Amino acid sequence: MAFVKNISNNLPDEELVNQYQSTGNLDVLANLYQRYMDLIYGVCLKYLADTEDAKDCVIMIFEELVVKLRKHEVSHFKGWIYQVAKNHCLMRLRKEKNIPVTIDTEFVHLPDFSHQEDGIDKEMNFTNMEYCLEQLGSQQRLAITLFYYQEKCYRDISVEAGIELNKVRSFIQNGRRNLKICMENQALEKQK
Amino acid sequence: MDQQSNHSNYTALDFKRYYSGEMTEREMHALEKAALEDPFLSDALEGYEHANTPVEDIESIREKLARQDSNKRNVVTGAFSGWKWMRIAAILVVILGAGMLVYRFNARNSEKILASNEPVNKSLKQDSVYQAGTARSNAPVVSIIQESSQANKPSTNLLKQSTTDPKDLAVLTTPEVKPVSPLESIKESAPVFENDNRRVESNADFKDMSGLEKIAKDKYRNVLTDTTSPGAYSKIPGKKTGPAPLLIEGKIVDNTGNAIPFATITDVNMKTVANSNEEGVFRLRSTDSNTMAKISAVGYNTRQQTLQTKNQQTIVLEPSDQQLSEVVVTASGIGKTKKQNASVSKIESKEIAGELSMARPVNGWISYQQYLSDSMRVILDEKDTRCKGTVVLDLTINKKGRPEKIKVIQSLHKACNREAIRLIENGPSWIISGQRQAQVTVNF
Repeated sequence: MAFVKNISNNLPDEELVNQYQSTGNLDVLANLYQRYMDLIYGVCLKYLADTEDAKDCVIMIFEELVVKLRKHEVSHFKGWIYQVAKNHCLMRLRKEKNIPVTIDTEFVHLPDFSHQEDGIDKEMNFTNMEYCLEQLGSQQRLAITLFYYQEKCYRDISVEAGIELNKVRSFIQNGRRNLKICMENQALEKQK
Repeated sequence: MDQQSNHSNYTALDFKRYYSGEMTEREMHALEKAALEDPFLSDALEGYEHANTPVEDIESIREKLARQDSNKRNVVTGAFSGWKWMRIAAILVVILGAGMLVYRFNARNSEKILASNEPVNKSLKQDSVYQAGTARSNAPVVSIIQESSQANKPSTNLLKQSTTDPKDLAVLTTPEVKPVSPLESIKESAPVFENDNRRVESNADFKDMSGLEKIAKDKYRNVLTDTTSPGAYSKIPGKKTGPAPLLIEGKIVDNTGNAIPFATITDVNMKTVANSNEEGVFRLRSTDSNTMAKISAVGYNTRQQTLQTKNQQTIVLEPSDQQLSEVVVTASGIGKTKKQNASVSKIESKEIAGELSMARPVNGWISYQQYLSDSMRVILDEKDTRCKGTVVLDLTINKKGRPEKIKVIQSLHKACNREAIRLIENGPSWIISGQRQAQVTVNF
């Protein structure tokens, strides 16, 4: 069976998507799905917080995929499947608890734009970043420097900076966002 | 950054190791960093916090999926297409069946209500034939409907007599003869209707009525209460109205300002029903101060409009040019005396009303027809062929109940006409009910 054998081929997702869309071969889809199944299970776990529900959820998402993937044009499979999985979980939560949940329809794209910029700008960005880093709040700055400069993990940062473990990530995330805003402003000012 | 590589990088095992602290700091950092870049991974990472046995979980999912997968595959390659069509066909059959049921039920109901509406209206408006008044006039209506559904076989006899074969007509009739109109043939059957009326009148106690009759009765009992107390409301039995019943009052008139009695006002939302009384006034029970209602009356175009509780409003109905469809009356005659005491004919709604006020033979039309056919002599015309066709005569009944002033309306042949007049002159006496006029069709 397709789900027992391991991921054997190294074709890119998009290739498999095309194959499935043209042939409807479930082996291909199974193959593709397995690449993300672990992550999808994690997402389901996050929203449903119950292992049995999450297992069902993963299976149902696959069922959904069998139909959906033939109809939708998917250019970036990973982002797409993430969105499908998330929506599925949210719909399920909404159905069960009848709580209105806003579904984030924004397509997932990895929010790292730094690599898109040219090498020429890199030097300038560096100086900008140092400046912006100064502007951050102390805890955000500390978390960022520890994480990115010293490449420490959350647990270590938590110990070293004396921040609760579950707050480390939010400090880093917020710090990154602030840093990005700051750097964009800097770049604009330089242009002027 | 290689996004593609992410998919195989982290598995349930990694997450397990992350949470159990088996990972090195470097690995943890790498995972965390990747998670920051990738919300998908980040969500997954968060999710695995809830899992105690992530690797086993994934294995079990994989097994389940494999099972489902193979099932699906079997279905796809095997009987899927056949089953699919079978299923669709089955569903279609069920839906169509249900649709037919609903449709037929509705159609039958509306037909009956329509049919029962009109004659009651008419008979109430007239100087009624029935001395007993409104309460009695209910009963015949019901019985007509009931009878009509029975469609007796022998009853076609008279109809056949009255309408001659078109071929024969062409050969034998004189030029002045008009073709037999349905109107004439109708007249013959009208007496049957009357006879029937009397029969029903006589046992007009409502005790043993069938379901349909009960509904009709209920409906008209409401009408009756309406007529006695102006503006009394009615509603469909068994249907409860909402929490705060409001009364919507109004008056229904035609475009010349005359009140329309017995119009039906239906609240479209609540399904409550009211009828207007003789002054055209109605009261409709509603839960909303502003509701959509359908107003219908026989002979007028149905209209829909919103009604408000605020003030009594006047609703104008436009007369409809659409005539009430014909009513088929079937009766099996009085008692069990003779076979041909039955007649089927089409009677237009007007005809019933008109016929009721006309004079009729003492013993009823059936025995009169019997008398005609029994006493008829064979008449030969100039060519010595036997008279065949229909003579229609108009007559006036004098105070003694004898026919006078017999006029030939539709003639066949002089000799035949004479014979027809002779038959009537020597025939049974008449009863005047309303009009002194009567019309007789003699079939040769």
